[in-house]
Amino acid sequence: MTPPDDSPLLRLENVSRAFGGVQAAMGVSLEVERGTVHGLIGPNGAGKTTILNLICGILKPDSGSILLHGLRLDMLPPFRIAQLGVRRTYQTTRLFGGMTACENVIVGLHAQSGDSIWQRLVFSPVARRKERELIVRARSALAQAGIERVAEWRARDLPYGGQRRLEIARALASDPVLLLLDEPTAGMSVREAANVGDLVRKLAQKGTAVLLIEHNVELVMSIATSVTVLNFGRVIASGKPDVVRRDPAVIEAYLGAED
Amino acid sequence: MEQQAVNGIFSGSIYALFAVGYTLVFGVLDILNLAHQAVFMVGGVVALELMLGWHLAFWLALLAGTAAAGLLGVVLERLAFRPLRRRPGTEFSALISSLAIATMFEAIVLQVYGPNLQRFPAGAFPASVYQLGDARVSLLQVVIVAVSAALTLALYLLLQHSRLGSAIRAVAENRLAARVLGIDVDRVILVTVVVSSALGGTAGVLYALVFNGADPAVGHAVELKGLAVIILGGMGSIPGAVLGGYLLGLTEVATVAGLGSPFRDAAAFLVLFVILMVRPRGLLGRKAVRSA
Amino acid sequence: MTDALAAFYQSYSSTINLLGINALLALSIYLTLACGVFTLANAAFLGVGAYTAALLTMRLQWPFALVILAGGMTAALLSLPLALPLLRLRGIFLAIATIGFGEALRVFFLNWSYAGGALGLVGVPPLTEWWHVYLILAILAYVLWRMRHSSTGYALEAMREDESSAQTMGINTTRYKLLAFMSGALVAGIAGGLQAHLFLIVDPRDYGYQRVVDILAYAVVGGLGSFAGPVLGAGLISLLPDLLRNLRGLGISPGAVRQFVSGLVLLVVILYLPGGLVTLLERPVSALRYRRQLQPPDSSI
Repeated sequence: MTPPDDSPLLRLENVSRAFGGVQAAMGVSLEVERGTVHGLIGPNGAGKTTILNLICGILKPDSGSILLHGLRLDMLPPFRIAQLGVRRTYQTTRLFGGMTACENVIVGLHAQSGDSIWQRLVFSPVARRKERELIVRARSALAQAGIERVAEWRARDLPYGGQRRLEIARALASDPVLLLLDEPTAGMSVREAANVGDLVRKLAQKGTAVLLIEHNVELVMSIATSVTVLNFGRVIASGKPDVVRRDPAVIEAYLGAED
Repeated sequence: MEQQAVNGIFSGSIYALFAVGYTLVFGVLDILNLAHQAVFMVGGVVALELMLGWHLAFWLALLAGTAAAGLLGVVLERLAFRPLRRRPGTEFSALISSLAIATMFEAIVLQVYGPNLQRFPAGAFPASVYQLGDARVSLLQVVIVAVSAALTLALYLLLQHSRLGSAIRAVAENRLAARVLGIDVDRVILVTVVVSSALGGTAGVLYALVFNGADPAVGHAVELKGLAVIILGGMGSIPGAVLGGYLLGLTEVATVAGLGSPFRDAAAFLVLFVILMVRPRGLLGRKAVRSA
Repeated sequence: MTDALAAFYQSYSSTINLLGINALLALSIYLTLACGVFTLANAAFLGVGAYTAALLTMRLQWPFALVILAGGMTAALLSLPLALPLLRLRGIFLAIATIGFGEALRVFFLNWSYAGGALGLVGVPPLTEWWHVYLILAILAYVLWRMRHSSTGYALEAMREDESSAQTMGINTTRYKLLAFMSGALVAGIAGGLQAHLFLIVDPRDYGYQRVVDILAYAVVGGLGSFAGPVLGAGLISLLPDLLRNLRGLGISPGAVRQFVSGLVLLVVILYLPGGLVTLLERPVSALRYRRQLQPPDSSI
């Protein structure tokens, strides 16, 4: 069932979520078209990570709906959502520290199309071929993220930038339909951040929809086709980057100190 | 019927006292302290030994049993819990270490006293009986309920109206924030575990009095009841533990009345399971229940 | 040569057999711990398997292989309603439920007159040979070994590291936890049937608290990084009574000392060597491997 090509891939409709007394998200609506990069910016605590958590299923909204291809994500458990092709990275790296970089990526691939235990028990050549294929795909993902050289390093031994990039590699390895990135360039040098920006742009060109949370506003404005701005859990502006950056409400709330 | 109610309240008061200590540690440290039943057992054994061997009066033996349990609480906290705070462990490391300590405490008692039941000397406690409506209430039962209620009330007052109490509650809320506020978190945790263990020990002495004896296996019998109570009441909630304790006591006597005495222990198991299926948060619990 | 072996077996047969059974039990708890599920019900499942198998042999004269299987399946079936409703909750709730389950079953066995009540079953036919136990152990070890680099193996390791991350990568953690729990029950049940036909009695006091703490100790002390750990832990702790036998002369009851040492070892390991004893063995190996990787790092990554 392929939906018409002009409908947005991801749609949030009036999504709200509270924690105790705090309204982390309030009536948030946004759309992400396939093959585009959609930026999600706002001051700290504006609710951006909450939105990501709601999309990937770790949290459920109190009200509103989240649709992927017209399918209600907010009714599904996280692993089902992932199986539909949604991948994410985290604000603080959550890699499998004890495994190598390559293994970290392979885990995600196995979850989709791994071998069965019966094949492994009898040393079936099918299993071995699958394993080789997965390794090839994993290395290709590592190469895209520029860290192929450290494929056999343990994840916890990688330098900070390498770890951030491994997170991205892990997420993109399975050719996701929707990629959720939570501040991928945090703590990176200007050059590294630019590399990540290029990577994201290339992914979008290949058809992946990307929802990008970033504090690096310049980066977002340069690669995103559309931007949503959150403050205190509400959308205060949405649209093309140039329009949004001139919106007075945005300037006041977020870019305030600039010039 | 009223007699049943009296009996239920009476055993409920012991369960409540035991469960209060159990739930206190869980509320403050987020640890299920599986050594709690061991200090319970030690309390009873120590009191018994002092009364039998040293002919100590009941009240002094009660105090001694409580103190012994509190002392074990120090050992428990220093050996099993504190080292784990300094290093990242899995969610269950503290549970396992408390289990290991419990095993060690039990082994010591086993070595010193052997596995057999010791009995309280006759006449250890005046056998006066009172009449309350249609029910007969012994002085012993009154004392037990009174002690349990008094200690629980004292704990409540401590937590709500003293500086130490607010420090404990702060650590329970958010350990990091408490540390930032200048609270000596290590000391607070030590006090919490000691108080919890002391209460457990008192419950153990009272229990030994009721069942007229103490032996190393006594802890396991009461552990299931303690778990049922804290789940029923809500993990981390002291009022919940009290409420749950009395409810379990009454449920037990009702079960015995309806199904016969072999089914007494089944009541705790059923309560535990039904609550876990239907409302894992318990009656008054406030902590999160769902995983991740 | 074979005479010497036969003599060796004669004097040590019970130890060898017990070691095999304990290794099976250690592996039964290993799978669940390996994916982050904490359970203390395995001694109860051991008991379920023992009673089921022994009763089927003695009352219905079923063939040996069948009763062993039946013991395992009964335990696995019982584990399903225990775990299923609780897997979505925090792990502590399942842990508590398993403690409750263990205690409830212990009391049930004690009062079950059809199966001898407090005296248990006596006169179980001696049908277990040492090779039964070790064959099953070998099969289990093989399966676990081959599982390591399969989807299941990767999924389990991911779940152990970070359950939430694993879910967002498409791993159905609830299903794996349930499978691990049931498999653990199955293995424990099988071990129970084997044990019943080995020691020829089924005593309800064998399936209580102390047993499950021992089983936990085998796995934790040995180490959960691979399936070899629990087997190692089982071997070591099982041999303790033999090493401590000499203390009887000093008036120290070996049972109490054994329990104390078992607890002490568990405590020391959980505090200071959380990876278990296998990490001591692994270190020289991984140190070699690591050195090979430490080529001059390319700072341009």
